[in-house]
Amino acid sequence: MSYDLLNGIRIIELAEVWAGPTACSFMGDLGADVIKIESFPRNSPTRPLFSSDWRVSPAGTGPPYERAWAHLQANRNKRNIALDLKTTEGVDIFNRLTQTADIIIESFSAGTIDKLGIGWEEIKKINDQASLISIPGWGVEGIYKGYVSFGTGFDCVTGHAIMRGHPGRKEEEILGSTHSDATVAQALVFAVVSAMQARNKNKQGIYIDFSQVQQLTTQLVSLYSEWALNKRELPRMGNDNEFVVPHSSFPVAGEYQWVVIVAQNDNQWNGLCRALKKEEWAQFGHKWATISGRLADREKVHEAIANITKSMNSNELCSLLQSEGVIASSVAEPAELLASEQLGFRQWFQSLDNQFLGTRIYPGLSWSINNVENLPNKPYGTLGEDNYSLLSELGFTQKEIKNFEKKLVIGNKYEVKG
Amino acid sequence: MQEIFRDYKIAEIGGGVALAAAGKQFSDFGSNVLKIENIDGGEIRRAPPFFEDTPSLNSGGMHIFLNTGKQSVVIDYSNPSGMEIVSKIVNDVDLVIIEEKPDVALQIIEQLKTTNPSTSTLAISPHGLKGPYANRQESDLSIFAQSTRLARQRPSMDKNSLAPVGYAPYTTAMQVGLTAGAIASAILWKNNSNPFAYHAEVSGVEALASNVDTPFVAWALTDGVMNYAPASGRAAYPTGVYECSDGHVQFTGADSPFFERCCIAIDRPEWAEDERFLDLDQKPDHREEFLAHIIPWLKARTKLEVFKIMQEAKVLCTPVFTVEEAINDPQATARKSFTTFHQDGIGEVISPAYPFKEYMSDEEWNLTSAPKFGEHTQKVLEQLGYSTIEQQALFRIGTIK
Repeated sequence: MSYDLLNGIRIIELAEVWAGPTACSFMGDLGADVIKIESFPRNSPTRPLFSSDWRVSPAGTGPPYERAWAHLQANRNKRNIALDLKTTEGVDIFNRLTQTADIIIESFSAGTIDKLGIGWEEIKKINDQASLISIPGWGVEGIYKGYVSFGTGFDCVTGHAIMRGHPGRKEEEILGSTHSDATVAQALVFAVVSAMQARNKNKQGIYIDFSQVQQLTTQLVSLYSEWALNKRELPRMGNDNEFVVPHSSFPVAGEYQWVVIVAQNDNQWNGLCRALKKEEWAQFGHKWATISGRLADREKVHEAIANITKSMNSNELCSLLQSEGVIASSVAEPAELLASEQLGFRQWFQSLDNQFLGTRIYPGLSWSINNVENLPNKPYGTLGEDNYSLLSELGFTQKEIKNFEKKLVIGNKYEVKG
Repeated sequence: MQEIFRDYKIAEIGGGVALAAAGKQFSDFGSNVLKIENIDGGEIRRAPPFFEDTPSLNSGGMHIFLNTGKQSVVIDYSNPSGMEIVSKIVNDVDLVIIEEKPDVALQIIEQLKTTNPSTSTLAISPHGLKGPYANRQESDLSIFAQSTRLARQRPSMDKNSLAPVGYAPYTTAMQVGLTAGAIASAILWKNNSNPFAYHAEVSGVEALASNVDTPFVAWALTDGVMNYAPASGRAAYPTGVYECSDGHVQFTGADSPFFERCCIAIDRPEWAEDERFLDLDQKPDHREEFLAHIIPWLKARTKLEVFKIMQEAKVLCTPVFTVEEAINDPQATARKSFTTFHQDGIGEVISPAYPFKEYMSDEEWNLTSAPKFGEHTQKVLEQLGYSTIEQQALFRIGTIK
């Protein structure tokens, strides 16, 4: 599925792992012509070379790097060229692509693109209408120039990681979070449109210095506003909420099964008490009938609810609570997402073809537009699949392209190790 | 660069956090963003934290951070008199973003299609405006849970008594708002060359489940085998959080070439070529040997010392900061990652600056105060031509504030 909102914008993607590629995938979903330049002959981190790698689907018969979910989930609706940018010819090809580009997105560590000889100074000489968006972790400018990290690290330097987790547990138990990958990806769509708007105004491309760390801080408003207004850090509270009781996940029948239950006000609390056949908890005079009483007895309230829910079926409990207007949800695993009546009603999931894995089910789009038709997806681009067609488009002859292939400037295979 | 969206006028209808987050992207970049707020103010004005812990519709942190530079008009749009004002406001806006109960949102959209047929709309809701779950009550945590993202945060396989644990308050709403801002910007871009009234939606569950940081694709492509990244697997070292002399650092250093670089950085260069550590089949058996060296090595150094050593070695390693440390980080200072603005009734407020800027630009990120509840109601009604008699009549029946 895709839409045509960004139709006519050509984006060159020089990005690996998740944030940049996911952003470009979103923009492919919105109709942009995304050309992914894959690292060659070095494989990108999300394209494993071992079939036993945990990121590789056991299904299919092709090379492991074509069956890696870590790659596939961030790379739909793109064309694909695998290019060695450390060669003179590779740089020449990149420069030809630059001549046709509206946007170039790169996620190298800060300064690397300049060392490759394809940085902003070169880009603007070749095509002054192209914009460059660089997204190193800490941004391009600053004293951490060249520093490297993934999303799990960005979560740690923003103050988010240290407040996540169950109260009283050690920092060593903090789980990794790739929240920044998800949010940077959406923020980059906005950045690309901003660059296009700037070009409309200024009649030339611009260079955007985008910091993934800073992007994540903008998402953590509860933490930063607490500090700004009251000079306090948010406490580590698990799934509890300082101002709402009950607000947590509760055990239900089955192995490691949980249900989120939230009653934000007295009406929802009344509904919860009716559903659990504990109407007396909501009667005037009972300590828990009021918000003050529930806040004071947080642990006791949660324990009493858990004692009832632990023997109940998750779906039955959620249905019962929802029918009483209470916020209730199972802690859904992927199979539950797939079975969601709501997502089925909205025909949200999509089937995508992949040469090596066949037709599989993937998540749908982040948005829907009710009054325009969905357009079909491009097929999944395999490594270097569009080498010939793209280079022909750029004016290279078949002989030149074959020569690039022979000299390993381009390719469509990595050396598999197992 | 802060003026890039100056030519656009956006109307927000409702009181959600995601709505305010979506609109902030445009107010930050110069758009005229008008908040059409309902009489109760909505969650954005009622959500803690509050300045000096004193709740009011004008002193909440979510409101102050997410409504900078906007105007506030308070209207009861559940009645025809209120809806008439809304349709007049919408006459000259480029995009209406709505976060309301689905039945209310649908009613507003249908009305706008009649009165303002050239205006695009974008509706934010937990599940979409129609369907069997559309009218369910939800919260940040419950949407997070339904998207499969909470299940991914299972403490570890051997701690079955501990539930999966979510993110900071309102991170779900913020991501939904960001997703809405993205499609909103794309609609405005398309409308530059091809004016058309789009009617778009962002569902919270879909926004989260369609993005990375979810296990769905891994599950679907491994036929249900792989639900979780084996971050705690015995071969995955150094990965996770480790103690230093004054706090903690985080590593994502199990894979090549980061593992080899890490071995060199911790004075064990021979391990960078040792098959016991490089062969994934053998690596789990030598976990304790590695940890026995790196743990005291880390405890002998501060987190910033470790950070510097590891980054010079190009190892994926970061310190674990508090918010205060993040604000005072020298990199944040060098980049002006945080900015201050004056908030009426409160004073100077420090807030994250926008995450991107033009390279080498000296432009300061200028934010202006978030509006008081209904601060611009009278002005906007005057601009729309409402007489003083009409305004008093509307105020008398509680349609405006």
